[in-house]
Amino acid sequence: MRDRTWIALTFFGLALAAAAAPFAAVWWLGQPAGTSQAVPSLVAAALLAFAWWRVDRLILEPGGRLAEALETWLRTPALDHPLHSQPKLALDGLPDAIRHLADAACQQRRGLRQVSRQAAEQAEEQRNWLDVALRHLAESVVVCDTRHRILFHNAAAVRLLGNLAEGHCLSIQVPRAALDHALDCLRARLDALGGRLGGDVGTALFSCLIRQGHRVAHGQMSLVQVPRHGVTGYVAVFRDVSEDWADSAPHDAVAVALTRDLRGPLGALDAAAQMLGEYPDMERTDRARFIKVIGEECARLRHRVDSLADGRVRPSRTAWPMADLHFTELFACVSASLRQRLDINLTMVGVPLWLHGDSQSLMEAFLALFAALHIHTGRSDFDMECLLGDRQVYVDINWKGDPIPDGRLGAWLEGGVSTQLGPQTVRDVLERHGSQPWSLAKRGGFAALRLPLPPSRRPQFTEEEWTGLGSPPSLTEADRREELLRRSTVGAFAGRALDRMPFVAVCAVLPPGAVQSGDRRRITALGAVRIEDGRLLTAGSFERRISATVAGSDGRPPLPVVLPQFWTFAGDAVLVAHDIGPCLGLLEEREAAGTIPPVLDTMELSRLLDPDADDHGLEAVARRLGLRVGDHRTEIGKALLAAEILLRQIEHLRELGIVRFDQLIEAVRSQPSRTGAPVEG
Amino acid sequence: MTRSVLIVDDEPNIVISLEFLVKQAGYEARIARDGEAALAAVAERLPDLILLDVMMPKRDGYDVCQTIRANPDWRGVRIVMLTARGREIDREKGYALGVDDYVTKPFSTREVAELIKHYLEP
Repeated sequence: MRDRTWIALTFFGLALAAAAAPFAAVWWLGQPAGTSQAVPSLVAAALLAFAWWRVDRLILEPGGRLAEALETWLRTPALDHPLHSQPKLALDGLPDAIRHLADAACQQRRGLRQVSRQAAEQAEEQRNWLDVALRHLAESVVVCDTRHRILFHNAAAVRLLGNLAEGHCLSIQVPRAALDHALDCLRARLDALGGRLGGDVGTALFSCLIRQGHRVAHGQMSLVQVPRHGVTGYVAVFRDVSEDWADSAPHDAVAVALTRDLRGPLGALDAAAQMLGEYPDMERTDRARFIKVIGEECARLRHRVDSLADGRVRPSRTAWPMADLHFTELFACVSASLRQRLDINLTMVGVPLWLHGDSQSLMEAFLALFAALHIHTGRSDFDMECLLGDRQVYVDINWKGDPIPDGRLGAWLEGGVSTQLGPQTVRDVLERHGSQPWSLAKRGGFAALRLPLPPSRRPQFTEEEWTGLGSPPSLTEADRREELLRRSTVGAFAGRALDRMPFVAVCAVLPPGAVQSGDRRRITALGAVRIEDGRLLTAGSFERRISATVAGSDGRPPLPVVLPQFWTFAGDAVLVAHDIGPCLGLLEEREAAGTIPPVLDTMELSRLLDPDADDHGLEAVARRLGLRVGDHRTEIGKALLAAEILLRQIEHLRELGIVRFDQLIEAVRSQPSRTGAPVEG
Repeated sequence: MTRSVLIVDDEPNIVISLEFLVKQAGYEARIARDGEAALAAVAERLPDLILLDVMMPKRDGYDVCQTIRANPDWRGVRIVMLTARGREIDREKGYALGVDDYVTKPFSTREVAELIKHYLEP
């Protein structure tokens, strides 16, 4: 029922009540009703009827017309025409106000339409520019959204990939697995390094078989990032490498022959010739044997060379997309697949490094090796870590148990994997990377499968990452030592082996001078990483920028919000810092609540291990311990470095016979003090 | 007692040269044609030195080396790997699995003879 009907019924009800009221009153008093009651009843009813007529005429009717006009105006496609004037009657200034509102809305819509038209024209112009710029490019360029729907492409892309329609999915022409893998890698790299690289995470290379004409192509993918929206798409550049692919086979076969296959017969031939030369007086029967060897090996060599010339050797193709890739992206892809396919949990330990390789093939090879390890060991939890060697980066897969016999590992290497360019064996993939895996025993009952891989072309870290590690002095050595000794307690860790304990390495950042002035809670940033059982767990770290204000008005959380989060992360682990000074604010808060967490200072441990060294700052200690990794300018970088320092120090402490936490605390407490010297953080 | 050298290689022609070389140096030469035969020979009587090829049927040289090093009773035996695998990474794997020396084919017989003497006449 409409509102107008309800109001009419209300007035009718009121009129009825007004007419009945005098009669009801005399009936209540027990008097007879007469004309004196009828007149006021009629008057009251007539007044209410008149009131209704006025309300309807002056308010409800013009209000309804105004609403109708507004609805018509809103439904009109061209919303920039004005709203027609409506009679005011009793609505006073309402129709004018609505008309002004409609006029303002019209104006705004006109402006929006104009801006939208200009933007479309500009986009079209840019698109034309792009089209002209890319038209004669030999490479095929395709721009897609994150669901691989084509937004733009150049003419070369049509020549290589076939019919491309905007809005259609690129995976019709290019295998989706290749596109997904490259996109996943770039996203993982963005998550891990985006902040450090300013969002420019470079490109991911991939190879693929184009469905049209079965051509082989190399793709190079770059992310398209929009502020506040993140990754919205990507640009993929394809290059036809079919001819390189075909050409590479004989070259590779020659390379394999020269590096391996010819060495056997050549070795036998060479040895026999040397025997004949160095032992001229050997017996006739021996001489005859060596001459026979020379004849046989010459025949073998001839056969091998003929095979090479005829191209009958099995090709080992090398036209693969080798590129720098960060370990985190490989780890992210492998761990996601393992969790999904085999319910295997993978933990990243240590500091991730840059590698060089064919990302997709490597991922498939790792998945095959993990599947074999899972069956062989019966385990579902593995660690993966990177180690930096002189000429290689070693990727270790660690588990609790025994090493894998090399014969069994050899059988695993013959297992097949599906690469974008067809089936290969795990060995083929690793051979392409110059890799030769082996298994070894590690400390603490762990074993590892070690895969050496080529290091990246780019430096693992730049020289400037080593600079700026030193902070202004936080406390004098005497003050720092006093604060440390107050907190050098064994706690619940008496008798616990150092390589079987939980530690949290932490770096707290405060404004210069804050620690000395006693303003220890002005923490502006916190970074922390966990160490469990001698393993540096880098996958789950703690990193917060902290607001300078209690209310957190600058968009960052204030310290009272961050501290409980930090202590939840730290749990009951021993807190480790390189220079305890900046962490005192954290500790005091905890201590005020009645909990005294055990604390270690790697600077103090450095003094214990290297009493003759002058510099116990973070950089100097790291260099002395042979550490040379990572970006250490950030708080998380410094926490990582402190954690790595502690792990190395635990190894050196073992040489001194210090293997338990209570032994270490005792050694720290009995360490002689050098008072007065300022401490470099 | 004459010191013994176990030559483990599936290439008969290289075995002829190595056997001659070992005998000329005055040591006993024993031969095994594959990895399993090598381990059987070691179990039968521990040699003083093993000249070990990598690429062999049944069990390869790395596997043989790893098995020998895992057995505390066989820890004293010296192992020289003689192989056609000349890459740095192959060499590194050999050392990681416990070889004492690594020689790439083709090799100088004079150097191999000196190497044998080095390990057997310290």
